[in-house]
Amino acid sequence: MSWSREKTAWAFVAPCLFVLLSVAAWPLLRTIFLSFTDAQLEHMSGAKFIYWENFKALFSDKDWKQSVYNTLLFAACSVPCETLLGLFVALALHKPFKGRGLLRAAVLVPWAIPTIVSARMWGWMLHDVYGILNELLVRVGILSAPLPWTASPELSFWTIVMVDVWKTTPFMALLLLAGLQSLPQDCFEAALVDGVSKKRIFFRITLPLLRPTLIVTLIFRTLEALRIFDLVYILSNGGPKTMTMSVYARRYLVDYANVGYGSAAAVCLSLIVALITILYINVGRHRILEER
Amino acid sequence: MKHLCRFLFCALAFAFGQAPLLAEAGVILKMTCRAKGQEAELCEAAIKEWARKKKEETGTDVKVEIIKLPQSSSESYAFTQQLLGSQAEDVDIYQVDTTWSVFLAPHVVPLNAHFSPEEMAAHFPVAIQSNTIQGNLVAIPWYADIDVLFYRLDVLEKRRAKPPTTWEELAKTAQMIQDYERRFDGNTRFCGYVFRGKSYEGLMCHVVEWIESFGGNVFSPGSLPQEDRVIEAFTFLSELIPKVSPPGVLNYTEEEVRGVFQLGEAAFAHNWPYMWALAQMSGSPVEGKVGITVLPRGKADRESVSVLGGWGLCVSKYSKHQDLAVDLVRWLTRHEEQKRRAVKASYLPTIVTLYGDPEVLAKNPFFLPISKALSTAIVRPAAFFGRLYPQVSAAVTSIAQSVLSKELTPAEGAKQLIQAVETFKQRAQSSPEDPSAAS
Amino acid sequence: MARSSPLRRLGFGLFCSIIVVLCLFPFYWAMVSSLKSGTEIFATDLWPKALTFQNYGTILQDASFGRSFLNSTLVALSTVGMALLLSITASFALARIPFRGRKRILLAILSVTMFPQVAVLSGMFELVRFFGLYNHCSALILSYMTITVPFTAWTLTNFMREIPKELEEAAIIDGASYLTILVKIFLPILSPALVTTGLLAFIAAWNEFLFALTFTLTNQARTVPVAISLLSGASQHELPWGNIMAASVLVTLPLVVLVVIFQRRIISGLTVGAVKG
Repeated sequence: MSWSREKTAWAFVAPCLFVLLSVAAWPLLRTIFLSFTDAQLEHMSGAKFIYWENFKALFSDKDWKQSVYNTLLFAACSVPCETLLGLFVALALHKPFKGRGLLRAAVLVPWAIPTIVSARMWGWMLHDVYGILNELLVRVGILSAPLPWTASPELSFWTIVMVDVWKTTPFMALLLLAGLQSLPQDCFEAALVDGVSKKRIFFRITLPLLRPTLIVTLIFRTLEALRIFDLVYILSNGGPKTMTMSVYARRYLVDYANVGYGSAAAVCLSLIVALITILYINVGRHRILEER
Repeated sequence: MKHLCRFLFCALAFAFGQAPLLAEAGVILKMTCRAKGQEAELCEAAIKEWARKKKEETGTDVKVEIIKLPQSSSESYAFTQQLLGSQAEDVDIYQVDTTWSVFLAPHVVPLNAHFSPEEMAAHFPVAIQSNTIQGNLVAIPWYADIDVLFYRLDVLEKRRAKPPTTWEELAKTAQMIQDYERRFDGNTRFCGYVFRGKSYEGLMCHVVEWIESFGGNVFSPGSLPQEDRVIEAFTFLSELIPKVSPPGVLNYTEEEVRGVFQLGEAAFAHNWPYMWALAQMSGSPVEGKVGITVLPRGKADRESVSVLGGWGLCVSKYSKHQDLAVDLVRWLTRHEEQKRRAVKASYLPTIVTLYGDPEVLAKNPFFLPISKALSTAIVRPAAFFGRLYPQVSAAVTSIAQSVLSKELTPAEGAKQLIQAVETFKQRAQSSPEDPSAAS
Repeated sequence: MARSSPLRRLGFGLFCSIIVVLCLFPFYWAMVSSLKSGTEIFATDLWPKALTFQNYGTILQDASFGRSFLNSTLVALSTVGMALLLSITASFALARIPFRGRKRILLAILSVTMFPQVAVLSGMFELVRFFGLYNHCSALILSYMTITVPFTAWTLTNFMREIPKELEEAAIIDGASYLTILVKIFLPILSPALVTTGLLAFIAAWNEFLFALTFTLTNQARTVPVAISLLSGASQHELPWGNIMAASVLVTLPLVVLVVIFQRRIISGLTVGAVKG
């Protein structure tokens, strides 16, 4: 029984692993290999193995440090905002009320617009002279003069956080809603019958039951946030103050044609991502990795 | 579930079974092109004519497929790099920017073997020079692009101002106009001078123009940088925001500059000539009020400097139909075709004599200042710095932005700039193949 | 809900309205912009002075845009279908069948998405050319597996773990095979999670840009986001904002319709408790 059970399990997992392995193995291994070489785009075949040189250079580059800091700060600011807002929206959508379908469809719109389009659209709306946002805020009286949302280095970081929150809260909300929907209903009914307050139900029952979903959602959101590229690439003014790790890696891989060094940056980025994921799993004590 | 599976299999079968639509009759050439809209029509018409001529001459059927390139030049570059880098034979002809030459050199057919010296001499020397790497012409110029100064005829007239000839005059006039407009005409958003301030190649062009027109001598290889001149240029820059330029200008690209100018919210705009036709189109708030002139000088006794932009055509070394491709490239870049494009769509020719052609000038009166700018145009030092150039460009624009936003004083900025460029110069000269120059 | 005070209900209504406005305003602005023409597009009027559908005309007349729409639909549907198929079985084993190595498998699956896209681009490009799939929709479907499968596999594993054990134990005693348990018991219960993850994966595939731009060459294989980014004005440098906005509205609408259709499915999970009882 045990043997055949293990065999069944592998049979179930095999197709998925096979596809992922055949698609992802070569690109990933190639990047890792290249990060130890001095490969340049013009003569990839002449690349020499240079051990840790790229990484040494990377760690002494202050632009890289800045972009690591930017990315971590970005993730630390945007992910909690998105989670909290997403949770609120999910709770709202969980209640049956008139117009819930409309709300659900509306909430998904920001996520549904291709990023290359929505980033441009925001750039358009945030323009300091003809942007609608400045116009509205000045007209309402919140601002006295138009702000250069995307041009000033201090402001543009927060602008990018704001647009990211706008864009990805729907993702959080929808996943958390699915989590809420699949919670066993009887606990809540029993608690309500016992006259437990709604606040208590939320903190004592809903939240703990939702925790596994919350952690998985957080893992994927953080993963995305740490690799953020399009938004920064399109919205920011391209200076080092808003540069993220992915933008840094792209700059070396593509613009500077320095494939070896760029790959090293990419490898470091994914190591940071891996570290944070493992941290999440351990701190969140997610059962997903426990043997049962 | 069953339905879902069935559907999936159908979809997959469709996806995998979709044969490339290759008609086996004749030859198919593929050409990347930024052409869309009007330009695409021009391009297609020219290609059709060529194909008809080929058919008559040799009897072969040639079909040319146009592959669109992304709007942004850096995305186009990445796309081209990926294809040529993998030695793909899928594309025969590429439309390329003047700053890509160093990357292109090993992947393309040297065109000086196919074009006669007279053919090459017809183009602006600077356009040929920027496409020549170690004696090999990697691409033949197709159309030019050059920074000019746009101004508002009506606003300048209202304030009795003349188009500026020096940067100092520009700053003064712009400030005067901005103050008047804001204070007395209640136009609170009006700006004096807008330009492309985002940290990208567009700003790099500006920086070269600003510094070299002040006589900074920073970017020309083998010359001694003049720190005091660079400080002069940077002093001009550091006083722009917010006196005459909006803070948002630090994130402007071509289209943001056009937006502000075309809405009638700016007195001066520093941009490519494409803006002319759009700003003058009927219904535009500035219709009939747009003036165009060469860029101001650093000081009255110095020269105006404009940077050459523009696109050329090259033939891939991996193409299976190189001769046909070269022939098409010749057809598209020849005198008659450039004239047609200039008359029909105001594309800037790279052939010198066309700027004296009455037909061309009648259609494009603004070509006069442009031809003046083109004859003294300089190139960005892309060929000299080679594969280091994108890094030079990023470093330079980053320093310029810091000066513009007053994070660096003009003196600090000048020092950093010269130091950065000199370091890159040494690295470029030492050995381009040297792995220690990698990062 | 029915018994809550009017004040709370008002607050709730207000919260929902704010959310709707915040979510939809940029979309609204895109729509308004798409209905403007010429220089008016730079103006900040909340409603165009003169309505024009010219931008939509341009987009709809463009045959290659229709083709890219078809490609996107095909690619996104196939991607979601394959990703769900692969990850449903895998996550069932990972969640419900105890076996050695499952922890490592889960982490390995996740590690596929840890690299930035731009870093795997070149390797993926070589792979695509090696398989002869260049300029082919199937190249996109295959490469999107790396984007979607880790997400769907992890989410579904998580949801499957949450299903009470008694359900399958009863079935095992009845002698049902794992496959029967999966298809007959788990899938119906999981339908809200399936629909949600499927929808999110669909959107991810529908909107992906970098791979789509790099692995396709001609209009025959290009997808919508690429087609939009390749739209351009009459002259160089000019961005045809009106056309871009019109195209964005056109590609977002089907997704909204999709949500409206599937939203009932998302709530059908309310019956989970009932099944258990």
